[in-house]
Amino acid sequence: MTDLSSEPEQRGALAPGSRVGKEWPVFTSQGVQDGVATLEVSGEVDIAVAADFVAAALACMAEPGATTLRVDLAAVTFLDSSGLGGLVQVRNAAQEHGKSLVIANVVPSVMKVFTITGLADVLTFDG
Amino acid sequence: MAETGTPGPLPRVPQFARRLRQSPLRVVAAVAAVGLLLTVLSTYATAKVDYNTEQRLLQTQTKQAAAVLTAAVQLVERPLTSALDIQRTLDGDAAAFAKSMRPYVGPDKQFASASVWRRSGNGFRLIGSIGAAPAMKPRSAAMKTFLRQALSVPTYAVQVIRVGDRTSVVFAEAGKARKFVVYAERAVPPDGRTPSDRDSAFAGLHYATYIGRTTDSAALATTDLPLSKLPITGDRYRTEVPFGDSQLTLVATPRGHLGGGLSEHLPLMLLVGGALLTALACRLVFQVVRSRQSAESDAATISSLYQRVDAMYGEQRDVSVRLQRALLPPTNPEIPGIEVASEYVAGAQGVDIGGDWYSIVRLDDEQFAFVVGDVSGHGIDAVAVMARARFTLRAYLLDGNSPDAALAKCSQQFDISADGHMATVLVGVGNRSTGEITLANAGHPPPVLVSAAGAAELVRVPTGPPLGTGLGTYPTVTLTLEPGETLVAYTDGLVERRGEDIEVSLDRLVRTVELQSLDSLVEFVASLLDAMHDEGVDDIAVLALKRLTRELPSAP
Repeated sequence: MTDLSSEPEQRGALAPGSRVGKEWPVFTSQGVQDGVATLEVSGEVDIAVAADFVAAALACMAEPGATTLRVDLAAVTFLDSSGLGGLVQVRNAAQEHGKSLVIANVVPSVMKVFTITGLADVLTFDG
Repeated sequence: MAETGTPGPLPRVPQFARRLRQSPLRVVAAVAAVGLLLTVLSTYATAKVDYNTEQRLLQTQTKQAAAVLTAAVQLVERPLTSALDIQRTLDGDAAAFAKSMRPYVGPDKQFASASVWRRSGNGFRLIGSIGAAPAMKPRSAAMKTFLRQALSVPTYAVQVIRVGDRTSVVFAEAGKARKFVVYAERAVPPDGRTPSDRDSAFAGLHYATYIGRTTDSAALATTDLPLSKLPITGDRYRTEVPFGDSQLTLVATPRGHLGGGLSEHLPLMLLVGGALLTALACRLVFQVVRSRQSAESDAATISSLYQRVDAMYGEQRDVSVRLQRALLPPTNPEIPGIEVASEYVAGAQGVDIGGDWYSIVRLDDEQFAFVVGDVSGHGIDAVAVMARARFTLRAYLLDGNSPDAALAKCSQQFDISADGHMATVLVGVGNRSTGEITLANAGHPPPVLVSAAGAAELVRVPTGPPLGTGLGTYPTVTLTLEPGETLVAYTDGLVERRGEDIEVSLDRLVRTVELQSLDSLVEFVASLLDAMHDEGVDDIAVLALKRLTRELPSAP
């Protein structure tokens, strides 16, 4: 199990407008099983951490034997357009490598964001 | 800089701390004064307790010494009375007297000499004697007076006499019969001490004993002090012991400290210790004050740096906002029959301006197009992507593409994997005469349709994915904007609240729209922004199109 999250202080000096006092998301790789690499995400995924999320997801997908990346959003409470963009980037990267992205366990409030942005129909969901 | 904290004025410094800053030496002086006061008080208290203890110990020891003297005094009388009893029984016998007194008379014994006298008229006749020659001449008037004294007192007579440098205490006992008088002398050794004085009760004391009540040197019996040191002054205790027809007055003063070394030195230790502690406290306070001053000076430096950084961010943000505004249409084109109002509000925070935009294009005499879009992410990069999207879409629309075609073609021009940005866009192409509007949506929040009466509803436009995702296609929907109806398009900054379900946010928008007056479209947009604005981090673009009930004069 690899913890791909990074603590806020490792992200360098906080720029003005950066998130202070908000819940930092945690990205936890659950390893590869039957070709499926699972990344559990928790917290709020927004512009401040979208790049971290993409990096964590790509690292998880690159693990040996992984043909599918399963991103478990069960514990994600908020997803902004940058977070959505991050998922699309990961999806496109997966396709380039002949792999697939499955988004799992999306809570209803976050699912509505997928729906309203037209991404519900073009991304693959599970659970 | 809302979350990292706008460097406002420094927090108010409490009054005490301000005084501290003004005069650290005054604080140090106050600490020193308090410390020294406490030290002096505790030293005084300890010294007082020690003094009282010494007085009590002196009193106790002197009384013990007096008890020793009392016991010694009692030993004096017994040989005298028993010798007297024998003489009365034998009616004057020199040999018997010598025999009875022998154990008590001699060098290093209780008496130096003794004699027995029979009353004879007014005078006395010597019957026998033992020991050294008496200091008081047997035939002297002094002896006669002294022996007579013994007859007049209920107990024995006592006196101290000095002959040359020889001091003696003399006794005369007449008993109850007053027929015989036994006389005895006790020599006081040259050092002034008697054996009883060597008792441990005297160990801690300097003392002097006097016969009688006075402490004149003439009455001095014994002492351990040179005569030059008498009478005893200073701390002394005086007590009296009955002694024959007189009394023995004992005056004592401590040789050293009766209570022991610790209690003697405790006041001094407290004084020195307290002074040292006070000095230490002063030093600590001084250091604290000084480090506080330096911390405050550091805080001031940091504050001014923050202000500079803030100012620089402000300048940078100004540049970004000016760029953003420069990319928005300075004025909306005149479209006969359609009233247009728009507003752009930059996000509240820092330089991270967003990539929101709106645009109205007049395609021909009848047709017009409008766009409201939002590039994900913030900053100059987002603004650059926004500018590209805006002008690309404008070109496709001017080229006669339908909204869906324009979006599909534009979609090819953007790739989120290349620049990390995607854009949600609502595109509409309308006919000013018929009010027919065709909408296509790339992941954008649904517009609001407001009836002439003010009722509002969301227009659920089938939504394709945002531009830049490279996914999907864009269906269209066509609606007719009736005269008096208004279509409101906006970016998500208007509605989105962190932690709130987006449908709840949209519902709030619809209800808020219904509360606004539509008399003036410009004021409608302004008051809608006021009502929905949440000091959010995101920027907001709002575009409202109202189909007028009366056509403008410029219409054909």
